[in-house]
Amino acid sequence: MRFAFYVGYRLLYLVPQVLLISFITFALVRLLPGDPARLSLGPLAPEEAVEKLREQMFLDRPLFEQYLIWLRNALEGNFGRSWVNGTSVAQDMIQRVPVTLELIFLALAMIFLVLVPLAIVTASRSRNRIVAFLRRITFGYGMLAGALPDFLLGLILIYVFFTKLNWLPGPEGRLGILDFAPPFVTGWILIDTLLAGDMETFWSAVRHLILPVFTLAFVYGAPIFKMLRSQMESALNSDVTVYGEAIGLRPATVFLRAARLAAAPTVVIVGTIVMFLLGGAVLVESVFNMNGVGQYAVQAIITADYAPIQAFVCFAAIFTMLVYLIVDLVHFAMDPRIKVGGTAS
Amino acid sequence: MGDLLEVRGLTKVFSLSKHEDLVAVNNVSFALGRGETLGLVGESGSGKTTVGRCVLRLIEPTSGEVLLDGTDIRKLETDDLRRMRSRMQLVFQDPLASLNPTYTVRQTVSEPLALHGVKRAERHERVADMLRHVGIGEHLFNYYPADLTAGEQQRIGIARALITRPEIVVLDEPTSTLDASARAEILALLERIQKETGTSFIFISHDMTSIARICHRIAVMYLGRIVEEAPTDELLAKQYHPYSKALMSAVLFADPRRVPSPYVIKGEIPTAINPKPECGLYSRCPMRQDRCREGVPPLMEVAPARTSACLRWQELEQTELAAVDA
Amino acid sequence: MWARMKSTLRDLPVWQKVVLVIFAGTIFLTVFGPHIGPYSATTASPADRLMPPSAEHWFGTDENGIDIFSRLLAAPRTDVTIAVIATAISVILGAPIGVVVALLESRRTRRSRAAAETAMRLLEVVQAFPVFVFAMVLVAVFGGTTLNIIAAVAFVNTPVFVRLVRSDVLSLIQQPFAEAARAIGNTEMRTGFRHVLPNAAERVVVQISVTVGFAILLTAGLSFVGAGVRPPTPELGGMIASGAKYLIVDQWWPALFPGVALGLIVFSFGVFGEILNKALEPRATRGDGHRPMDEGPTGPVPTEPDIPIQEATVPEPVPDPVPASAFAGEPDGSTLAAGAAEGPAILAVRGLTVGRWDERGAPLLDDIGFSLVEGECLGVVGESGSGKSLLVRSLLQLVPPTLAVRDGEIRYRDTDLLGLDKGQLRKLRSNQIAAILPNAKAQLHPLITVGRTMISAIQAHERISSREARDRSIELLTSVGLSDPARRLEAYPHELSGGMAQRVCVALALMHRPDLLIADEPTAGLDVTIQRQVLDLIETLAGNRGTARLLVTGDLGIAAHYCDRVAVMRAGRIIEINETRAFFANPRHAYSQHLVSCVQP
Repeated sequence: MRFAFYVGYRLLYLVPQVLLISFITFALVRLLPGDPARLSLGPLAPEEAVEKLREQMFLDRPLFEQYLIWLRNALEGNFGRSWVNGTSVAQDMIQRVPVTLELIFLALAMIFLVLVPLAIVTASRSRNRIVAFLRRITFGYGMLAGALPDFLLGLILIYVFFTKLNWLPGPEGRLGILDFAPPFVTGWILIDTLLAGDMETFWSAVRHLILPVFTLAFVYGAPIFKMLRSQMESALNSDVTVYGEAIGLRPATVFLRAARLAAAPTVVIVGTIVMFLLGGAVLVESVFNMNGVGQYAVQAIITADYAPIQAFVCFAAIFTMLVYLIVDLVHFAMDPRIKVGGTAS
Repeated sequence: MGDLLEVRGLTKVFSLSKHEDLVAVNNVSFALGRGETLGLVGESGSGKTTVGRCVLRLIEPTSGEVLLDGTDIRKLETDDLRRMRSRMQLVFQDPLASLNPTYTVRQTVSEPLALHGVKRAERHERVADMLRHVGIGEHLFNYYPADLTAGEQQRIGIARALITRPEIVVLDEPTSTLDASARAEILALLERIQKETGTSFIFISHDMTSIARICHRIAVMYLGRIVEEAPTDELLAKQYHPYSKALMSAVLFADPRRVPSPYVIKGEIPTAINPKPECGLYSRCPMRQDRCREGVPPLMEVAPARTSACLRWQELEQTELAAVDA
Repeated sequence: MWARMKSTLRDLPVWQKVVLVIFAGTIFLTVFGPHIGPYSATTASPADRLMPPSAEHWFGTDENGIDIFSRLLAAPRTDVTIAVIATAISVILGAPIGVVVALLESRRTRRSRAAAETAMRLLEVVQAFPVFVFAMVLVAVFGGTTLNIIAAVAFVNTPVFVRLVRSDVLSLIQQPFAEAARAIGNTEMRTGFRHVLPNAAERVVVQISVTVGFAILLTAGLSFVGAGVRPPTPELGGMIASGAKYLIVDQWWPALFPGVALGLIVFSFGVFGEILNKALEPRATRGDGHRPMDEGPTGPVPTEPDIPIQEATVPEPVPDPVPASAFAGEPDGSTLAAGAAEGPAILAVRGLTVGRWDERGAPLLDDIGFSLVEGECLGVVGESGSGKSLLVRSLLQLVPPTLAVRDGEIRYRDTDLLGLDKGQLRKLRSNQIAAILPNAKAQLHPLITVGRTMISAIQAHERISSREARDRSIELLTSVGLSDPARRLEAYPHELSGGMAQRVCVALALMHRPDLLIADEPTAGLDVTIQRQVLDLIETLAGNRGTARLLVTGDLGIAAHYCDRVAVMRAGRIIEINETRAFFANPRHAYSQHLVSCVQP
């Protein structure tokens, strides 16, 4: 009941926020220098043709009306055409969004499967040898939080593992030139190759994903690792833990409950990290030639191709809003102290 | 009426939402004479702290009058309000939190003077005098609050309040976070100050022993209202309201021979959100009757200079009622 | 202030000192870099393309034949200047907005709150655009001039400062010192700027350092994808981008040198922020008036690299308001003689000494000895800092990680608790030795229900089903006088009042019918009528069952009425033990006399 109420409350804000985002996106991109109609037809086209196209593109209408037209089209899944390669932006996005989502998802999975347990375990005061060893090798990792440029790490990894050792493929995209791309189903290469039953391509895709995913997880997992570890340390020293021991709870129970205490505030920064992951994906895709939505946007920006930019920024903003929403809901479900319409008192 | 301060029908409502009003203070009236100490005693949630803030207009009262020498301070504007602030001061419960961590002792105590336009040279002298007066040695003048003991911090708080020579000081639980010996020293200091300067105090506390030591009169608050008011000695001897009685019997004197009365009251203070129009103690009272629900019992004069808001105060005088259950 | 800075600097680990030198070097290069390189940083010389590092070109040359070392010296000026100016703009824009939003929120009228909420949601929209993408689009839209890059970087960082300042001001403005400022006649504005803002400033300063680092990264990233600073201006991101394509063919120097430089610079700004944080944060010993506290038992907490050590939660000894010399120092036989109880001891403590784990400094508990017989209640009284809470944690074998038992014996019936391992201790706890700790609401896990806490506590010691454990919990809650126990099981601690939470803790302590109950300030923070209820409850439930009790309290009144004997602690020692009536009638030790006189007017 409380939860349903909170979801409703949050959704209430989401709608105007998304509208605002779309308007900002639209207005921002319309400020791009140059006349879209002229750009689209080239400098040699006669003035009447440009005029006609301008009418067709509703460029002669007031800005707000243009926005409404754009919004209606966008809701129908029509994001216009790229005037650089003439393709449908919606089609391009459908091809490329899964690439980026796959990267982000795999990086997050790696963070949760490796870094999160590592943070929790190394926070304990255990004098166990393995724990002590892990503590030693992770010392300093948290310090890197935010300092290591993702594109630089990607380049170094390519240099070491491709140029020098030749263990892993270089920056040639999702598959090697000799691999056959699986038929497009979900757009997630790992899933599509499995669906096609093509194990050889699947393993090739895995090998191509290792470096970019590692880059993202290593760089963007650091803040989560650092936060979770310090939260866990203070949770293990908190009154709650001492009291749990004092009433003789099982050690496992005490430890898990401390982890739970540490998790709630950490969840909040996961949202921010996912947002940065999207920005990171833009750079890492460029470095590794992954041809995802980030690289698409970079190309569009360099060529002043405004329809793809609009679509991408809109996608990015709505994606982030949804991530924030999910994080808030998770946090809300985890912490009963949060009031609807406010934060924990 | 020669009272220095008179409070009439003071009410403070915090509107939480459309349907929820938290009535923190409900129609409270009292008077304070010159050189007098009035104790406001009650549990957390009784509204005693809010009364103190409303009297100083740190919180805007919802309704009622606060008359300082006959002028309603609620009608004062900017400059007059600031002048009023130099006449009425406040000492806080948590001595450390109430001091700006970035100000030294000297800066803290001289700021009120600066605000009221006292010249620099005079300020310096008065601050030093005041600090010595409250027992802070010269060597501590440039310390930051965190470097002092809790007792010293509270002395700074008192010095800051007294530096403008106010006529009234509201003391909001000034000793509740202190150890017994620091508490005794602060209480002694307050007594000495009052004797020397004739300042009036409103002493807010939940600690009956401190109240009993320092106050001339005591007003017992419960759920936003005053339920009993009497001179200290009389109240300690005899209570005319079941809540005061329970409060008194819960006091544990540090003397094993003074066996506390078995009169205890069950349950806890109810919420002040949308209070019902009945006696606030109804849910907990061991001697409640149906008529207690028919409206909020008014404060009645039960003896010279004594009031009580219990409909059955006479019975309370006669019988020693034991608790119905604990 | 400077003394504090100096001592922080001295205490830094070596690697942080190294980072600090890098930081200083960066600042130096930002100012002088373009003028000190051996070659021109911008003039192409196609003949010298891609020459590997040599004596002539230390870091080699790039694709245009420009000396990389010279370019590297010149590059920080571009990146750091953009980042610093952009961050400055973010602060100048963000901080006032944060203050205004906080002031609106703190006003508590519905309309101002709605305005603040709307502002925050708008900010959320701005933040919803991924920082990097947003900056990229801004640069693309307005063109890649330095000014536009600064604007873009500033714009995306502004919300950081709005949020930081808002939340700081909001929490500071509710602090008593802000209210005190108003009470002495400050206006709301003056309070905000003279009192609140300086206290928020420290965190802002730290954030500035971190943000500059981040802004450098952002600038370099933008240039890397070609949406930032354009060549030939020396700039790290652009240098990495131009070198990246040669990396694959094993010409590593054009990309790696600027890459390492970028990493070091950003890292040094982050670490500088942390050092600043350390230098500014602990106000306790700040200022020229740094007070020489009696160094006694507490010095700085030792740090060992391997074990994360948190501040000990044990209250630090506060310098005594009453000079020790005022009292006879050593406890003599006469003050401890009456401490011997009759009957077989259930708990016997001898020579218990607790101090820092590394054996440095004076002990915090010194040669504690007492015993407790079955069914008896011993009160331990003392002022804050006397060591009574540490005594409780020592008895429970839950000493904070920075401390350790150095010597002594804690004998429970026939076993010495100090000789038991963790598993054996756990079996004893709650089953035979139960604990009630101060401030029940802070002890109960805030994220799980009372019911789950109780059920897991029961199941930790008995093999019974959850169903049965639940029924038992309901019984227990009924026995401690909680109304509607089934509903209370579903409640979270924050939904309980302090009194109810303490009743839950009493139920948790007594669920296994222990022989010994150790209660540390069980009624601290409770109102007097509730205090009475809880104390009576403990006495009826535990006392009537014959459970021995150790009741630690700062309130002599509680000791006078609920304890059979009283032990007085001061500075880590027990200075007097006596039967309650005799103690209050005739305290023997001078300090006891002082204590009693404070509460008996």
